[in-house]
Formats: sequence, C-alpha cells, structure tokens
Amino acid sequence: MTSRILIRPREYHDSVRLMRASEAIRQESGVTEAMAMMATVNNKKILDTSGLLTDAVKAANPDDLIIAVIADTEEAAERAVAAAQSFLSQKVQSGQQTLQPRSVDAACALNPAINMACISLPGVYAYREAKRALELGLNVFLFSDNVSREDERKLKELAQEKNRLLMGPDCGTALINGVGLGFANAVRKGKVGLVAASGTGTQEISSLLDWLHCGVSQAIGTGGRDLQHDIGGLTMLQGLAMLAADHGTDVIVVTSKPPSPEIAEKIIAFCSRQTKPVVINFIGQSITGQKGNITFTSTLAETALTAARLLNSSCELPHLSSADTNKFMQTARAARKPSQRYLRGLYAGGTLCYEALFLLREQLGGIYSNLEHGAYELKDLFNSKEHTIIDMGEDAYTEGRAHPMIDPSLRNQRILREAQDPDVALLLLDLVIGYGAHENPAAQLAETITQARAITQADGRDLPVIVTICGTENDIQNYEKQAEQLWAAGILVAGNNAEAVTLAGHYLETLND
Amino acid sequence: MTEQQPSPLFEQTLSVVNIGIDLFAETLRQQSVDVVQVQWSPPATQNEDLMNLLDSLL
Repeated sequence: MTSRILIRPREYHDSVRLMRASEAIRQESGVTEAMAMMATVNNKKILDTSGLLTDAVKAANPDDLIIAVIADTEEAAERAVAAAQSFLSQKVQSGQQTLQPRSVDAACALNPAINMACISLPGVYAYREAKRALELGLNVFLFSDNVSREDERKLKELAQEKNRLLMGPDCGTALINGVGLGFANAVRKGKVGLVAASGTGTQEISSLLDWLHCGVSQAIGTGGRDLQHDIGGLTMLQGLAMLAADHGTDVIVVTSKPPSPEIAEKIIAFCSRQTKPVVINFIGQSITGQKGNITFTSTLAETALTAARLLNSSCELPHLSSADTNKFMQTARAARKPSQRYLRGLYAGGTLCYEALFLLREQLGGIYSNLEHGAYELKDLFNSKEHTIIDMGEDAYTEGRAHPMIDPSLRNQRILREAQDPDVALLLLDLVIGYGAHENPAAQLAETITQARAITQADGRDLPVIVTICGTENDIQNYEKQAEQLWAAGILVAGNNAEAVTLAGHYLETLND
Repeated sequence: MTEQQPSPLFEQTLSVVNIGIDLFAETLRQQSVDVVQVQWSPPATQNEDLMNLLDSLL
C-alpha cells in the first residue's frame, strides 16, 4: 500500500467538479482511496482521517488543489494522479460555445444578450464578481455563502440603484421566466409568484403547487438574511413590487424564517397595500388567520394549499393513506426495544429542517440541533444527542465539499452511525430532487438504509424510517420513481414535510404513553 | 424604491453567465437556456486596494 499527494498551488475547481474527479479516479485499478479537493480546513480534517495530512498539506492554502491517492502499488498511484490531472484539465462541455471567457466582462462582450449572472464561487471572491455583474447591468443569482452582511447590503443597494435584482447571497433556488436557477424543480407555469428567504422552502411550496395543478409564475430568492434588521428586507420589498406589477401573477406568497420584528411590519404593511391576495409564511412563528388581503400560514404545505385555494383549485395535498400510516405505526411499535426513545432527523434541506424543528420542538420537549441556539445547540456536529435534528447543508458540513443534495455520502455515513446507536427510535429524512440534485438519490438512500438495518438487526433492533421527497413528476429524477425505490426498501414516504414531521412526532409521543 | 419602475426582468428571455459550479450551467442547458461558463480562477492578489485601483484603470 502506498500513498501519493500532489499539491497544485492556486488551481481552483468547484466542489462538484472535484467530487466527480474523485469518483472517476476511484474507479482506476489498484486505487483504494482517492480525493481531489481544495485545501480548506474541513478537507484537511478529512485527509487527516485517512492518514494523509502531511506537512505540505498542513501548509497548503484554501485556494490550493490537493490530489491524494492511496493505492496498492506505486504505479497505480502514479496512474491515478495522472488521471485526476487529466480529468481536471478537460474543458467544461459548453454546448455550441467553444470560447471560454475568463471574466464576466469577457462573457458579456461575447454575448451581449446576457442579463443574469449565476455566481457560486467561494464567498471571499463572490462580492467582487457580483458587484461587477451589477455594474454591467446584469441581474445576479448569488448562490455563494460566506459573504459579509456589510457586502450584502452594499450589493443590494447597488442592485436597487441599477434597478436590477440581486438574489442572495446564500440563495439556493429561483424560478425566473420559467427557468430554474440553482436547485430548482421542474414546476408547471402558473399564477402564484413567490418571494422567499429560503431555498428548500421555495422548492417545497413550488413542488406542492405543481401537485395542486397551480404552478408558479416567478420565484424570487432573497437570501436567508434579507429580512434581518441590518439588511432591511431590500430584496424582499423589491421582489414584492415586481410581483405586484407582474401580469402573470395573481397570488403572491412570502416565505421566510422569522424576520426581525420591524422588517416583518414593513413587509406586512407593503403587502396590505396591494390589491392581489398575499399568503405569508413566517416559519417558526405561530401567526395564522387572515388580515385584509393577507393570509398567514404556519407550514410550507399549508402555504401551498392556501395559495391554490385562492386560485380555486380543489385538488388535495399529497398525503399518506390511513392504511399505510396505521401499518407503519403498528409495525414500528411492535418491533421497538425499550432503549429506542429518540428521533434522529438528518436533513439536506435547511428550511425543511427548520420547519421540522419548529413543529416538533415543543411536542418532544427540546431537540438538539445545529440550527438551535442556547441550551439545545448541538455542540458536537458529528454526534447526535437524545432527540436531534440536523441541517447537513450548513456550512460546517459543506465547506470545501458539495452540498448533500448533490453528494449524499456524508449523510449516508451519518445514517450508518445513527444505526449503531441503540437509543434511536426513528429516522426522519428528506430527499430533495430537481435541477442540480443527485441523479438518483433514492437508490443511494435505499441502499444505505438496507445497510443501516443490517446493523440494527444484528443487534436485535428495527429501524423505522420516514422520508419526505421534495420534487415533482417532471423532475429529471422523477418523483414517482424515487418514491417507488424507497417504498421497496421498506421506507415510509410521506406526502410532504409537514406530514412526515407530524407523523414522526405522533410516533415519538406515543412511545411515552 | 416604490417610485421606481419595476425591473424589466420578467419581460426578457433569460441569458446567463455562470461563474463557479459547472453543474449550474449544465442544468441551464438542460432547460435550453443560453449560458456562457466563465473559466474562473482566483485573482493573484487579494489586496482589495490594488484590485480597486486596477479596476479604475481598466
């Protein structure tokens, strides 16, 4: 067994490309482990666990590329490193486009029709590129996180001055003129316009609207911090004005984690002045009911349903049959060991995770999470404690690697780890499909759950699993095909996140009866 | 802001420049959207003053 490490200073590749390169070189004969990654702090930890943290790796900078290989022989290691270099030197396939500009300016010179910049660079470089794009008169979809609040504010003010839209930073999803940006779903065109400070919140609502035969006119992402005091809801207010004036939008939906109180007031005041009906879902706040043209809702599913009803849709939300629910409950209760008392929720979608936490927090008497602050903040991100629900799309898990919607390997490892814990009563998971997501995540998840159940069964335990799929039948992965694979693996597939969470809460609650 | 005309974005055909993750350009091509991928690399220096000076000269 031998190892080989190559460091290429200041050679940048994005995390998805590096994940694909790693997968490709692992297929080389004689290779046991292979990693192509940027030298971030997180990635150095991963190299350390494989015994590859040499002094040179320790000294490398986050914008240096590392190719690390463990192989049976020197020759195999050499071949794998060469294969990695060859893979990464290939130009990206760009359809008919043969020229690859090296800047936004050059791209705009090449194609003057460009009106949107999609930016997903590491945060430290994102501000500069976003600012330049705005100066050139482009709208910006800013996927990058780790942009400072001060820079966010400056970008949003510049966007307003230029009368352009800046979605983000940390904007996961948008649907503009029928085009999905970032992680989006194939949703039918319709009359509901969304402005959202949450990525998977938009995906859940828009997918459910598709199910309800309504569809979406536009979905504008604002970035998660837009409704906080220091940003002032700048993008949200701009987006609301755009939707209010848009002839293709009849109903407006607003969704966000709880805003700063004064910003919430501003948003509500703006909405109340519009003639169109507005549905507001401030996740984590128990405001419901109606005030003039505004309806307040408490879950993402209820938000989609309320918007659909305003458009006279009589369709029902997707939901489990009572036969399936009862069978699940009975089987899970019958096979349960007394030690199995705790819920483990492992989410890829941040807003779906937040909704689960909000809906279950009081019911289960406290849940540890990386989204919590104070007593229930999960200090050790790699070990669960009692009831735990985690957002595995958070920076601490994703720095220098692909998001779990693209690369589910970190969550799969965590599932196997949870299976070893005799206290685990139930796994609650999401599966997000659509543009940008893994090509067949259900197959990987089903395989992982089968492995997890082999672990629990060897210990005389069962492992009940509830999954919510966020997506549509028109997504490339296809909702039905994904659901079938999960059902075949003995996993309960709920109709939406709120249903999955409610059922999980009900099961956990009855354990104490 | 409310006095400003709303952005004309909804009236336009989307044409995108992608800077960063190639995958997002791929997903746009799947949707038959015109997209140009930038072959980006980190700037040689992160000295913001120097970069701003260069910007003003170019």
